[in-house]
Amino acid sequence: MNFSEFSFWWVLILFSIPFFAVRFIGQHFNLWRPAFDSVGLAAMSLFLFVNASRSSFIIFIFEIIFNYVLVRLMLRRQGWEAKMIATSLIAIDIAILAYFKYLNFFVEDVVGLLLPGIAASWRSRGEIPGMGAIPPGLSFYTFQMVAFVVDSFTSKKKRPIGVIDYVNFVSFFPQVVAGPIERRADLFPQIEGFRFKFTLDNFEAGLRWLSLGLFMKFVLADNISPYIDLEEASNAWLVWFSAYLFTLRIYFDFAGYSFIALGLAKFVGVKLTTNFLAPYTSQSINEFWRRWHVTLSTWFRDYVFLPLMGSKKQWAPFFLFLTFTLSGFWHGAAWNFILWGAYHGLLLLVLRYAGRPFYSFVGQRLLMPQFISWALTFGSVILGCLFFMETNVRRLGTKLQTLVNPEAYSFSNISSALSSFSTNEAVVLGFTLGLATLVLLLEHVAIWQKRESEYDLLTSPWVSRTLLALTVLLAANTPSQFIYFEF
Amino acid sequence: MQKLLKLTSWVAIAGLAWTAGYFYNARYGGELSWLRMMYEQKMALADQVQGPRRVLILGGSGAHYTVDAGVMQQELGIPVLNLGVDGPVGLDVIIPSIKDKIRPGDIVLLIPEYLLLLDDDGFGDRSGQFSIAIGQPGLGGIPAKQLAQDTLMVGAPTLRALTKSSLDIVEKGKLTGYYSDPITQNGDPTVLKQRTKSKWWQMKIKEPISDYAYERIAKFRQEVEAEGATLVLGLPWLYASDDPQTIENVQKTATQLEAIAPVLYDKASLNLKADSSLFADTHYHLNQPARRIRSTELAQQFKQVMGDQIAASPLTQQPQ
Repeated sequence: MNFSEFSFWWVLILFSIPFFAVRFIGQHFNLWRPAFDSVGLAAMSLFLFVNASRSSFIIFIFEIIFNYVLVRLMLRRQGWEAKMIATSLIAIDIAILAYFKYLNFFVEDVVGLLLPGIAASWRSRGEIPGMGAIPPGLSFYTFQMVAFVVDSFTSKKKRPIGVIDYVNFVSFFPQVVAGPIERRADLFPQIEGFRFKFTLDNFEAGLRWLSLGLFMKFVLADNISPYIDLEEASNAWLVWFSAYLFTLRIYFDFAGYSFIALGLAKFVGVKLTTNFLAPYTSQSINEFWRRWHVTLSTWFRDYVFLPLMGSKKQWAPFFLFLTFTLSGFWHGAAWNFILWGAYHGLLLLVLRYAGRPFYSFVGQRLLMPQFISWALTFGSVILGCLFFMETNVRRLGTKLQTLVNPEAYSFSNISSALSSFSTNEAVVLGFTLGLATLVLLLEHVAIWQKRESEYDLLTSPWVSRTLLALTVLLAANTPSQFIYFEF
Repeated sequence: MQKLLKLTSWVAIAGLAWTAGYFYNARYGGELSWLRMMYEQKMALADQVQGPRRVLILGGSGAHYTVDAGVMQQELGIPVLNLGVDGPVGLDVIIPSIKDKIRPGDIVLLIPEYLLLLDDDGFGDRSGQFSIAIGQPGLGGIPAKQLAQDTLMVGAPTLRALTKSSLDIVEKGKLTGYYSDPITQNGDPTVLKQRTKSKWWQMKIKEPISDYAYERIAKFRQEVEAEGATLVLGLPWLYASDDPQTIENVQKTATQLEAIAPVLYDKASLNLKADSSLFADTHYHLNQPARRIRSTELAQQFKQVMGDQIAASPLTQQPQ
């Protein structure tokens, strides 16, 4: 759901007021059956989905029915029959995703490279149904459905699944459009026979995550967003600075979304997976991927990397590289995302073979080796963001050339970079970056103190209340689109 | 009980922050507050200025910053008030916000910007917030959803605005805003902003007046006449392209408006100007000399349309 659109909150309120009023009256007169909660949650989620995107809703409903019927059939079968149903179902789910997300790219950019005439003829056919923007949420709910098929197939208990429970599992409104991608073992037990658990503790916990998420999105990400300059390719300082700003923005944008989802789920008594674990505190790229978009990383690990590798453990580095390249491709049907995935795969290989010798070398000769590891990791992530943010491959090439050209780091370029901001802009940006640094620092402190959660300090009673007040006062009034909605 | 108090503290903190934001936005400091103050000053002027007949000029900033009501008053010999506010307030809120100031005998001159004429629903970005700031929430029938959103946002100042205000205090020793400069006894602006950074480009009008705007203005004529006053319309001066599409759309707009009430404009140029030096900071706002020229011309057109009715007895007749 698009939490930055007022429409989401409006529909949520319009649905909730009559629904919970009826529920309250029903409970008072002992007329409310527990199963109504499940139906109510399903209706709420589907209603919000229709409001978010009608076109995606049609595909979503088709996929729900198709997946539910085949999973049910699969659970009744054994052996090769069950395996065949599971394989076909996964293949069809992925094919639907591929059709909407990759067909254009495949024909125009891959086939078109070899046979340019085909790309031109493809374009001249005009708009093909569904070939515009990717239907919102498609890749997230497809991944969740695929994981459900695999987990159900491998599950020891082949109990039948209720249709409302399945609908609630895949359409749970806080997370259906942009994750976290939930797994059967984590979410299904909470959703099965769903009951609203409106407790003061749930509200308190929900408000803490909600205020952190709102602050990250509306104050940090949205106030940073206008300063990211994609056009500038010749001033190395500005290229680095924009990549740095994008690095901060993408984290606060997506983590903000995930925490809002987590907070909303808490309100109704559901615990979602924490999708981010303070990734910018990482001291290695390996650690970074354990902390960044956790549910996607583990999805690729469990459903791509491990099955691909199988028993061929000696080929693990190759499959790791391949998995990361595929993960990049998942982010978007464009060369820059493939390069970004390959870049991160390569970094992991470098770490695997050179990490320990390098760390021992640094540890023996320099002070604060942990700080150096952190700085190198963060720097690598910033460089990676340059690949991620720049969809124009030609301009990406120019930017990379600029970054390795010493002349592009001239003093005149520094003064040109500094003078590109007005006083007002500089103060707004400086203040936002100050707040962002403070947030990242509090994440570092929580990890140093080995607290229960990386966000323990940021979700502590008074910090979270302060964040809510700051969100009301400092939020940008023109929210930028959630970056992960494009994927 | 303690848990309940904890939850109450969330509401209290959000409420306090929102109230502080509302005070800044709507009462003192933010752009909306200056617009509200200017509007209230203009309404006070409308109450003060007596006369058997007055000319009340309505519109957005395209009226406020382009007409010199003082010059028109000299030319016409009757009180002229510039009641222009701000385009994004929207036609559906601008009209009712001044409606109770119209008296029998008044001539209401509505000069809507194309922003207002092309709008499909009569509401703009500031409709809800303006209606809340002037103490009439939902004025003009603002839809519930927009009003709810605007109510929420009226308590959200934004970092950008707060930074601007802080720098204002440091640099100028006071808070300022786009509409914070004093106005004259005729409601005219005393300070004109000039274009500094952004370059000029000639605006194109891609569509003629919307059906909605046409119907709302037609209804406004009835509302004005019900008060015993007369409605006259004007096309704004615009720094515009002379492409055929723009000319055709403006011509269509003028023709349609003429079906409602007399329209003041130069039939040769359609009020489309090719000289950017006439303009101040936007495609509508005029600099001081241009405002005088525009107002003198407007007064002449006014006399032509209204004939002897201006100089003679109070206007009670309807325009033909």
